[in-house]
Amino acid sequence: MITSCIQEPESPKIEVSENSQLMKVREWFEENKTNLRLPERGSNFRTDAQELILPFFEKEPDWDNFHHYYFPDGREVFEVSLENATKYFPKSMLDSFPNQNPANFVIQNIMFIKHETENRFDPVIARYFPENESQGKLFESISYNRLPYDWSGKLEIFTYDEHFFVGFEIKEGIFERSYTYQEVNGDKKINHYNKDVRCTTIYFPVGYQVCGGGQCHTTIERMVGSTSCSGSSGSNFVYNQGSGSDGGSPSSTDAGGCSTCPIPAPTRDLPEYDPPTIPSPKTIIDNLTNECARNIFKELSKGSRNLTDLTGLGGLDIFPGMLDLFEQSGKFDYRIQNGITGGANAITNRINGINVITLSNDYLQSATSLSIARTIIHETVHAYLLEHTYDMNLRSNYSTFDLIEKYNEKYPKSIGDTHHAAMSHFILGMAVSLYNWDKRFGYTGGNLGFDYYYKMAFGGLVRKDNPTLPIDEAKQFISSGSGWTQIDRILQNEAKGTNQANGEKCN
Amino acid sequence: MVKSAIKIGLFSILFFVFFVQKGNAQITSELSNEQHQIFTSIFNKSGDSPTCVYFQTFKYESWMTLIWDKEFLKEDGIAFCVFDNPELKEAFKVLRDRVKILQIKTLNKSILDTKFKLTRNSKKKRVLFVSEPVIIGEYAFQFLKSKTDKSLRVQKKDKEGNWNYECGVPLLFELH
Repeated sequence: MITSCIQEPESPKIEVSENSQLMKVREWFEENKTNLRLPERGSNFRTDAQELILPFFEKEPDWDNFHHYYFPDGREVFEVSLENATKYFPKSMLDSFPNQNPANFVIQNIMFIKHETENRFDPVIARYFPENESQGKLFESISYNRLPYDWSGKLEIFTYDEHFFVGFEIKEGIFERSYTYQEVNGDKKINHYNKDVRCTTIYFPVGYQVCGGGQCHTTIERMVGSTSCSGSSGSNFVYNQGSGSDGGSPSSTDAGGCSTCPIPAPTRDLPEYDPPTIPSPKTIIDNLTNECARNIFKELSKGSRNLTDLTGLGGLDIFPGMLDLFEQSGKFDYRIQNGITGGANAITNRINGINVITLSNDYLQSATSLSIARTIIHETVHAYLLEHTYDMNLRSNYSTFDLIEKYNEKYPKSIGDTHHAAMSHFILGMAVSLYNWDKRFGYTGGNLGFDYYYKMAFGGLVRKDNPTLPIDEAKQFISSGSGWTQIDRILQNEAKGTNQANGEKCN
Repeated sequence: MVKSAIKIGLFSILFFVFFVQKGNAQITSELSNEQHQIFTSIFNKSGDSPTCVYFQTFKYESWMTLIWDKEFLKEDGIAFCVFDNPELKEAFKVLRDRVKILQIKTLNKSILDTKFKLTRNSKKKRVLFVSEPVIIGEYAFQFLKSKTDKSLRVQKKDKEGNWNYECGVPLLFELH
């Protein structure tokens, strides 16, 4: 286990295959780039369709800098840097980056998405606008497939010829909302709600202003709706003609800044360009409606780095790699929500390629914050192990994959048993995370003695046929001098929020 | 006249019962020795606690096709199955047609290891249901389902003719 945690170098075979694939993309792009324009569109800032369209410029990708990954539906993606090209950024960035050139903080890439059936790689442009200076990232550390767990900012997608497609707002690694713009006819008061996605549309007038003799007159021509959706993970976004308008005049648009505005490109022949469908970027979706659980979850995700702090825990026998899981716990996408779980404190499953954690409503009503934090950590480890099982992009780190697979062979009947056996190797790491959460955010401030957090980390690692007993793999990690009865009692007290619990009830 | 009619009726009932039962017996034929070996080999590394198994295999069910769903099957593999060997990738393709013709067959207690207990009670809490193992080249595929999990196991035959673990694909599950 210890040796298996050493990261293996990337296989040269994969690198060669990646580069030859990238060469194909490059060849295709060179051959087709003059045709990659949407039909019947100009290169204007605005069109009659009220779209947000940025000035077109020829794209010259930096082919040496690229990310290679797959969308959840299996389509292959090469995301290549456009670092040397003209950069656009919203005007609001000028306020967030005083005395700085925001263009220096914008990451601008071109994503080539392989067509499902045809031999083509339809491109879209991805722009990462950090919230502030500290959120600025290097090309290597950010991609559509892997948003940093602590990143805040906006990610906006444009078509190849710079029509606004869809935007995403991310706050500390958590998906906040997606947004599109569209001209609207008919009822302007309908908001869209369903179980998973909540959309709100705000309407504003679009018109023109005529000024003369010191007076200005505004004529409203139409209404444009800005639709903002939260909880839309797993959604696919399709480019619609007419999306993309923020309705303002060129001077009032929030997305029209550029570092060196190019001359608009001449109109081209009708293309065979069809903007591809794109999924939500990979990130965490917080759909918790229970306020207390939501706060704990935010504290846990915010503190991913802090949760591995070993200050004051010098005596712990932590081997290299044990805490990697917790450092990376926010680097993969999953959805967290509360709901009905059929008696369990929480369940984690995989729905349409998304890992979904559901915390029990009943449990949240009775448990202490400490117990809920423990459960979120436990379920997050499940989600992490699932990601390593299904996401081939993560296979460069085989140590986690090998660990899960070893137990998958041993437990053919249940992936739950497989996970719990593998999770036993992370008990100490889970305890460190729980301790650090309590120290920074908890009611008891980390003062319960490390052994208490360590005991709580055994939560859920029980036998399926007899949940009052620990699984064999966990037994070996029980400290000498303490028994399972003691551990189980602590877990039950915290879960039920009894007067024997040390944590504070969450609700 | 009436007596003749009764005789004909009785004869028809006997005929029906005899042949239909015989027909059923043909449908629910037994797994071969090799298929039993494949099944037991899945549990080679699991503990000694007895596994309660339903006495018959199950037919094609729609969840099996999740394997070929884009969310699961990727170019390089699927879950614990890595396509280092192109034959495995090819076998997964062939399996797609073969799952549709899975049959109900009975397991033979006398061939199985003692760590398996066969049951006819499908409502038992921890009963495991298995499909008929499908052999494609050197690989064998078998679906397992329980109350909480649905998965596929892949075994590979070695040079000595023994079946060993190759990989697994959890398809539907609930983790607690």
